[in-house]
Amino acid sequence: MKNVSRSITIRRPRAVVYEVLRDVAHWPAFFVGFTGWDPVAPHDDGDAELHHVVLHVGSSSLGGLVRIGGRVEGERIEWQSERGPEHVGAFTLADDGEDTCRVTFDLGFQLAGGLVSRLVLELSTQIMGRLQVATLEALRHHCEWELDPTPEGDEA
Amino acid sequence: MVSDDPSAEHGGSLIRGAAVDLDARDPELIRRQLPAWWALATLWFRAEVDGLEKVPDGPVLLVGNHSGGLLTPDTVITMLAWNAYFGVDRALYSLAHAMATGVPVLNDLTRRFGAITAGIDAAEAAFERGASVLVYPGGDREVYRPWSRRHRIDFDGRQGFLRLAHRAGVPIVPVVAEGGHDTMMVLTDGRRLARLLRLERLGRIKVLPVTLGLPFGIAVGGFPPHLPLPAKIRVQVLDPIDLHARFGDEPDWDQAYDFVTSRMQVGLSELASRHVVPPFR
Repeated sequence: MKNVSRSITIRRPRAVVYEVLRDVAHWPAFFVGFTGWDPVAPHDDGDAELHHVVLHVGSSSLGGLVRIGGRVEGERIEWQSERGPEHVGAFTLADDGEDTCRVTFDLGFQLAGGLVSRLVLELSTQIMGRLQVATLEALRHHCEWELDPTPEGDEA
Repeated sequence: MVSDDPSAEHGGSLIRGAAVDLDARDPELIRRQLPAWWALATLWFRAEVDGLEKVPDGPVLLVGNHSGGLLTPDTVITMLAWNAYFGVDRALYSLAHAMATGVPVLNDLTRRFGAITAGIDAAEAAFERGASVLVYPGGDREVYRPWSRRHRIDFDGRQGFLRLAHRAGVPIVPVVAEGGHDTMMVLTDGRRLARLLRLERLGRIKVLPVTLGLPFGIAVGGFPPHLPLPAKIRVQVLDPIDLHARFGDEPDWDQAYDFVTSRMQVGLSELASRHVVPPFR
């Protein structure tokens, strides 16, 4: 499995960012590349656990069924593919100074096939990395500017 | 090299651009040449420009990032797209570095297309006429940032554009562009050397880049000029920003700067995520 990891610092407390990530209904607002996002089955806490997703990556549209799970309250949210392109993903949050947190977006994926697939996998690493960066930038902007016009700590 | 900080002073510089003459813009010439230039941009750069419908009526300050060295193909594409979408009668002036508006022959063509030497007075005069203005606050530093930073907004902390838009009461319309830096490769921006040689004092030049391009290979300071590789260029117009509505009559300029550059960084990263294999698409 190919693993790609990207991180970003967000000038918001970890709990605030986690609240944004925790509700998967928010994800299409910042998850770059999503063109389809349909909840399939409701989770105990009201979240949908299974989602039909369509992700536009590079020149391809990838569809599949994704299971959201593996939540560690305030720290981590994981998901994995049930159908479609095989992959696992996670957002991990850590404190990074006062009222600031570090969000890491991990993605692991693999492709069936031989030598050509390996080449495609290498190429995909760069493409997925750019998509992860774009997603994290959008998440940062959403948390810092769209939740409240004034980021905490900037009032002075 | 189109762009610059409109707050910059011209005094003391050996390189001076053409005096600002808003009447030099030639709508009839633009109308005649637009199809040919757009065909070239479409065939060579497979240019895509989206979001012009977001531009509100009346004068606006387009604020962009630009790339690709002296030729800044994304600037040319933005100007062409504006004229194609709104028609040549809705005037757009682009604030250009004195070096660009001071070059004989080239300067005549760029001025007729709407380039004016960067300056606050020039921009305000354009607004007073009901025209819009395109500015690239990152200037020569941004246009020659290293290739590894091609997907970063880099305005070098310059905030003059914010004060300009706020004072004139015009909305800022962010415009992000991606692909221009794949038309050549900037190995280093040479800022230290430029400082050592005191180029800023001599010609408002803050960088002395070393680039790799066709057909001459290595170039220093933009010379010899390069032939741009046929990289795909995408331009995206973002939602307008009303500084008065968002930050009030006495904005915290640092905060306003962070907001505008943050939104532009999101737009640029999103464009970059569509890139498959540079420079092809």
